[in-house]
Amino acid sequence: MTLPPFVWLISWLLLSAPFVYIIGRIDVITGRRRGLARWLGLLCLAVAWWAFGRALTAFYTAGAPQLVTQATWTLGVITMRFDGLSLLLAALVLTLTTVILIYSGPYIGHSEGAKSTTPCC
Amino acid sequence: MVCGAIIGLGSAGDLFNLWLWFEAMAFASYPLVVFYTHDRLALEAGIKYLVQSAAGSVFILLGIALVLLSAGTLDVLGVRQALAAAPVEPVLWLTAGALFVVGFGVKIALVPLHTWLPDAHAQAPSGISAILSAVVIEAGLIALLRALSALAGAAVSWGALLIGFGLFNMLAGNLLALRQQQVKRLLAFSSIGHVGYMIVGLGVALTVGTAAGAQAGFFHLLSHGLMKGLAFLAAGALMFGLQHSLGQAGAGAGHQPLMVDDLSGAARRYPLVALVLSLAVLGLGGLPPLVGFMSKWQILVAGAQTRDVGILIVLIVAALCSVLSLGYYAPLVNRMYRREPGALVAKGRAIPAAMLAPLVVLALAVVILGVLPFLAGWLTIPAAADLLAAFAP
Repeated sequence: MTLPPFVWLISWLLLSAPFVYIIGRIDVITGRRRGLARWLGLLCLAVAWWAFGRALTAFYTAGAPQLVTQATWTLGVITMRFDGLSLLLAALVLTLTTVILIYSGPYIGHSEGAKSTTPCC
Repeated sequence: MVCGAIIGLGSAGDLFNLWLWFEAMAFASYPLVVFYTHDRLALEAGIKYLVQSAAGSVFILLGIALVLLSAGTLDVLGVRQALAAAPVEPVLWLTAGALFVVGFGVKIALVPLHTWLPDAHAQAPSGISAILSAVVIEAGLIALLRALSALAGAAVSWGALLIGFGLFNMLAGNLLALRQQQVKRLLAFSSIGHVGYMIVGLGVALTVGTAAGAQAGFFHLLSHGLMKGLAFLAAGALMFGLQHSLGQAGAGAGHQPLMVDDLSGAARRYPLVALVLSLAVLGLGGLPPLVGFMSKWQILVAGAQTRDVGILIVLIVAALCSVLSLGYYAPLVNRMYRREPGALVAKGRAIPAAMLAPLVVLALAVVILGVLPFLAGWLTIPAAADLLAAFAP
């Protein structure tokens, strides 16, 4: 089964998040501050940006004439459509998440909450 | 995880999956609100957020049940086709729509469903506040539009409803922000006002069916995300320099709020952070040539083009609210630049470059998109076209 790029994008973010979380927890529990979770988080986001780029290319390739297009993916009763609204939201959330992840390293690292929770996207 | 859930939410093609993604977003964002687990106020904010989100979720489920009962399907396009094939009682659709508005309205912080927002945004770490304010609210708005688009065939003007809520949000958000002395609470209340501008633009588009209003509304959604993200991150950087580094956020004490008075003379110690915070709040206040001015201007122009008296009155209120907002944004800038540094600022420590680089990137975006707003067209034009297509009769 061929998955559209936007499904890869969503799946990747959801599947990678627990790994980043666990790595971060291990660092906290063992007392090591290697910042591995942060780097892994950035790597995950880099891959997500690549998937977003592919989704964007598919969106504009398909919809160039009329600018209204929808990539639809259906699995059973699950229907997903990537349209202009999805594109806007995806671009905004990826941009801000990337910026915040870079920013949060020193900020979160010094806070009390980091002992009980782990920074993760 | 929040990131994935939000993109999933934006791509949901049927109402039940929309609800599932919405819940996933709430589930993933709750631990972020209560990040400071030692802080009683953070826990209180988290509980408030959780309870109100859960209550909103029940309303959405009831709305979905009503739609399923009458249309026999939950696919957004399928519901519209079913409605066209066999019209049902308008009151049923109106009830379902009202349940969606209330349910999603909690997350969007529609007045009077906004009470969780100032606490949650003020108590979370600044990076999380930025996500909550700049993305989660907007995701709720997209979810509401998706849900209402399924009911677009009903003889109800959802656009007028959005304009009405927008008016209340602008008034309440700006008036409440005027009284705030905590920087992050002030920014949180201003988010409530900015949601008002967004839904007024989108409401105008749905009322008269023109793309200009939708593009303006989405451009404001984008610009608010960038400006509010920048404002929260800059406020967080100052908190880091003034408080975190001084060790005042010790265990059990919770994190100390950043007060407006704490910013006195901050521009001398932290010139870059003061500059970007000023750009963010002045942009939020709608001063040219920043992106906030351009997006508000586009909303006003799109509304004025309708020549509808009711819409024109709303626009006048919007313009006045924008002026009013300078009443709480300008003092922030004034304190940073025109006062002598206070004791806290004088003892403040350096802010790492890793925190400053993202601020510069967002500040550049705020300025560049203000001068060259067409650069956002690749996002706002398709979004507006798809919104109008979804609500087309």
